[in-house]
Formats: sequence, structure tokens, C-alpha cells
Amino acid sequence: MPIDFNALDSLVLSVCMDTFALGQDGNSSVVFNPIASQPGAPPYAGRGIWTVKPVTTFLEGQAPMSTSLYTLGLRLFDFTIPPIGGDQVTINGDVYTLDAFERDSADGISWTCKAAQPNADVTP
Amino acid sequence: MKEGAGFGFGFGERHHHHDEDETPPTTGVSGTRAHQIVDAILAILQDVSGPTGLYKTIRRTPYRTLLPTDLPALTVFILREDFSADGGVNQGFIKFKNNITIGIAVARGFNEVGGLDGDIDTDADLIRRSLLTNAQFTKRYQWGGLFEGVPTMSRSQTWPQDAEAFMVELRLELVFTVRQWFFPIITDHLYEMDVDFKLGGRDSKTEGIRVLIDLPQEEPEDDDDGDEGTTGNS
Repeated sequence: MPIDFNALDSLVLSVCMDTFALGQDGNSSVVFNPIASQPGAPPYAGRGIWTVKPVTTFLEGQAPMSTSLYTLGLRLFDFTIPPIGGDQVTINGDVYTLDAFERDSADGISWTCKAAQPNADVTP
Repeated sequence: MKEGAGFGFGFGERHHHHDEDETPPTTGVSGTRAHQIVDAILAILQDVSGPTGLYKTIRRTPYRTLLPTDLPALTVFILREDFSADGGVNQGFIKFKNNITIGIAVARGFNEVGGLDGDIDTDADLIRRSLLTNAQFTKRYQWGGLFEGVPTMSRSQTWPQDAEAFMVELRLELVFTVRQWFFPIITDHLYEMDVDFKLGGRDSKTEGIRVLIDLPQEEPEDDDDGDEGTTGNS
């Protein structure tokens, strides 16, 4: 049976967003600042699935550094003009820059986010 | 005043030209000079960083694991030592020219990429000039300096992708040349010399001359117990 990719949005992505995304209630906020996609336009509120993955990266002399990979999953149908790389997003008060992306077949997109400052909720 | 005072370390020994009144070059303790150079670099760069808090973390080993909140971080450590013969390899005691490579790394993050580029460029210039224009650090080997010269240095940078922020690491490598001589340690006493002379070489039919020379022995300075201890001339 062929896969109905259009149904993936309604059956999977939308359901996941409704369930897990931040920015949908008063307890969390996701605000996009479209400095690259819409220069001069004001920030606007949105939603996204926020993921923090701890990693160790290695510097000179194999010196280890504990850090994290931040990703924000978005549903492109939520946007009239979707964010692009270089846009900023403020998540619960912390500012990030959208850097790299992975797009899936259901028009979901996962952005790797770079922090403007250490996230006190992640790094003790 | 002790040589090197002001850095918080001492490197007042004269090392290259071995006179009777000076301490012999480092023997058998590999890495000592390298550690002293690291100490000196850290002392200088701590002074540079101190008033402005240029570096939040300054350290000499890759441990403990760096955290994002430690940035900007400066690390100074020994990367390697490369020994090559200092003179003939079969003449006299064992002597080396030791090229010590010291790594100086600055990790920065949480800035715009363009800002990071400018920051590490400033770091590179500041570190190189702070070290190489410091008269105490660069004074000649014969006058208590730590090294003979800096034959090469290099700069590179990496931009780690697996990090929570835009990050960059500046990598400076400076090579310091020192001499490391390994004098043999003589554990027995030399009382006499046995010398054979023979004209025309070993196979000559000329009768040789053999001479035994008694060598003068120094009396121990403090020999209250009457033992026949002998020092010197070993």
C-alpha cells in the first residue's frame, strides 16, 4: 500500500506538535525574530519541539569539553514565511540562532540552534 | 636577585656553557625544562589576562572537562619534545638538542562568527607579543634564560560543529630549543691511570712503554670518624 505523505502531517507531525511543542501554553514561549528571513519585520510567537542532547567535543590535545546540541523541530505549515538560517529564536528567555537544518518528508524541519550565551538550565 | 624573579618561577641556572662554577645541564630529568617554559608562559599570560579578565579559565592540562561556562579558556601544555643529536653521536657523553613544542589553545564561544574571528586574531597577536617581547622570558640562555631560541611557531584554528554555540579554538604552537646533556654518573673512584704508548700502532714491533700514574686524592673535608673516604677526581 502506498504511503500517503500528506497524511503524515495530519496523522503524525501535527499530533506530535500538539503534544510536545513549546510555546502553546502560558508555561513556555517560543518567539522568532526573523532577522534573516524577513529583515525589519517584528518578532512573532510560534511553537516548536525543543530537544537538548548532551555531547562531548574534543579540543586541542584531545581536551574534552561538555556541551549540548540544541534542536528545534518545526512544522512548516505553521508558517506563512518559514524561518531560515540566521534567524533568531528566543525560547523561554534564552536567545539562539538557527544554524543548520534537516527536513523530513512530512514538511517538518529540525533546526540546530546555537546559543547566544550558556544556558543556565542545561549547564550546572 | 634570583634570575627570573618576577615571574613566580626561577630559571637562574646557566646551562649551555659548562664551567666549573655552574650547575651542569639537566641530566636524566626529561621534561623539566619544558615544564618550566609552561610555567613561565602561564605566569606571563595570567598577568596579561588578570586586570581585564580576558580569560575566564587558565589551565595547564586538558583536564578537567571544559564546560561552556568556562569560556573563554586558555590552555598551555607540552605537546611534544623532539630530541636530535647535539654534535657527534659517538663522541663524549650523550648530548641532545631538544625542540620542545608548547601548545597554547584559546577556546571561545557565544559570539557571532565574525566576532569570534576577530577575538582569536586579537588573542594570537596578544599572546605572541606578550611572550616574545618579554625580556625576562626571552633573555639569552647564557644569562639564565629558559631556552636558546624559538625556531618555529604556527597558528591554526578549528571551528567545532558539535557545540551548543558558535565556537572557535585558536591553536598556537611554539617550538623552544634547549640543550639537554646527559653526563655519565661515575660511581667508583679513579686512583690511577694505566697508559700504554706504542710507536707505529698496535702491530708495530717497537717495544711499547707502559706508565702507571697515581692520581692525587682529595681528603674529605669532614672526616672526623677516621674513615678513609675519598672524594673528587672521580
